[in-house]
Amino acid sequence: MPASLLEEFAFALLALLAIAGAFGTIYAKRVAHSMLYLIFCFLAVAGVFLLTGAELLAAIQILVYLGSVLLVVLFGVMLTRRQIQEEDFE
Amino acid sequence: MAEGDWLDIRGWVEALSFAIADNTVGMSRFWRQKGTTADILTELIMAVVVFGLIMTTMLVLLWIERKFFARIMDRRGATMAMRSLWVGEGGEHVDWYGLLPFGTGAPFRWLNRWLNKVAGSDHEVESVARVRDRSYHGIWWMLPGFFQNIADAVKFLTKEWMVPTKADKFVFEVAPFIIISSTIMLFAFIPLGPHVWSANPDLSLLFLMAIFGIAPLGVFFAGWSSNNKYTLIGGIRSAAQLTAYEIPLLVTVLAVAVLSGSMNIIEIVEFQMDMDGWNLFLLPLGAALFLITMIAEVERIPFDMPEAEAELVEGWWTEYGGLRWGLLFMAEYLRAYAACLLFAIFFLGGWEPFGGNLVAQYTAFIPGIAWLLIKSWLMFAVFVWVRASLHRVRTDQILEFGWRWLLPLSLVNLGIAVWLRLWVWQGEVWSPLVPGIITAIAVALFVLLAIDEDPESLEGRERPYSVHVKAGPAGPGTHKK
Repeated sequence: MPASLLEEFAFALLALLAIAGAFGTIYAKRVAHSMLYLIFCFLAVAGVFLLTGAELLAAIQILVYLGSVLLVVLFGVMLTRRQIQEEDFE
Repeated sequence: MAEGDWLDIRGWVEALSFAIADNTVGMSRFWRQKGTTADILTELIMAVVVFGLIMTTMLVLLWIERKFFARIMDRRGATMAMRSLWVGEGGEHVDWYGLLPFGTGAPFRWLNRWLNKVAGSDHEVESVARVRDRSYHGIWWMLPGFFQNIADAVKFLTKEWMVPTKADKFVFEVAPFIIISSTIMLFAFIPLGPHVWSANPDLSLLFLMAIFGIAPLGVFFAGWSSNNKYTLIGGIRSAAQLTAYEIPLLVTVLAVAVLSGSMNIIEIVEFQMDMDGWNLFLLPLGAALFLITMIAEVERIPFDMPEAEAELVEGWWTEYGGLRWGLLFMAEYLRAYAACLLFAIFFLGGWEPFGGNLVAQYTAFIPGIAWLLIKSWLMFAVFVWVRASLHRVRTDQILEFGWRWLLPLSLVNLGIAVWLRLWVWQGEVWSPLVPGIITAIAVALFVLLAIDEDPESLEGRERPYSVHVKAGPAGPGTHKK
């Protein structure tokens, strides 16, 4: 059935995005970069929840986790000892 | 009621897309996918229709912002433009009503004369009269100032796109995508009328609020990646502000959902219509809280600390230019528009006409979308009014206000909603006593608080929100104490 094929394709895309986001979170050099990857990871996971029909879980995932990511990155940027304003990004 | 609306755009689009699918996919060997194709086509067309409606009616918002704001603050140029409709250019107006047949233009002539008498260009001081004569240079039947936005768009399109040398290029490019896409996604879940919506899941309210909370992330990343201290401070202020208003906002929305017994926005509106009571009169406290937290959410004055143009050059978007700045600005107004639409939907009965069932049979020829848009424009006028009246708060003020006032009050509001739903509501139309008594109590409380705000009575008292910062009003020599 093409409809389920579409679903499988979407799932593959979202799963790849989630895995890529997780890898990016681990291997990024900067706190803010890794948090950006974490956002994409969470969004992809929310998409997977949507695909499985767990709409409430998807909404809660975005509502709770993305807001907390912002606080995490805030503390990460403020409390680590790096200079906040980098001299040079390269 | 929902079925009484003749503007059945969704029904027409469904019929159209089924016809298209019948004649294309239905004829081919993939005919089994006919229904799916028609559904997808319907959703696509409805998304385009809703987006187009939002983008075209947003021009009204910008127009209100310009004209109403200019009128409140008595700014010259913008206030002149409207009057040129009756004063005319250089004091000579086009006698267009004289061309109408059978003297049907007479009422317009009377109106014109009256307007010229009340707000004409005559003034005893000659220079004032000349300034009043200075008016819109163009064609009289265009709404003066209305098409300024198109000129602005052309200006943004032709500007150069620059990235600061030391900016984090990747994040700098990604942040506007997060903000603009999440803002446009909001309108997928906002119904504009009983038959004008693009997506209607059971949990549309929850999805909407979830998506509303994504943009501050983009704001923070935009501020961080620009590598500029003003943008960084703006981004961090945005995140700090988020902690103050997000929870009261969600609890207030939850109270609306509890009272209506549904997480679906269309059902919330229909509950208000069927039960003959707008939530404004049942949850006045909730309406006030929603207004405050929504102004904070869309980052308008008095809660526009992230882009405090008096302190931080232009806040978190200082380094953005060209079309990206224009799109971010558009996203800002779209969020304000979404906030106004949501206020109208949650508290002002959505697409129910003013007066409710009493006038519904006489106003059936007006589609529901017109009422909703009018209500949201009025709400935007309130937003502009607030912007013109209040000053910007400090970070510590909004944090204290959020945690010590908004959060407890929103919990009280939730309690009121639960009480109304479980013990007062009898499963039928509200008795007029319930909204009447609640509104009377709210008005009485408001009047009491307004009396208490008498400046003489506050003399010598500590300011309510200066717990951590014992700062007095700034003045000459205050830094020496």
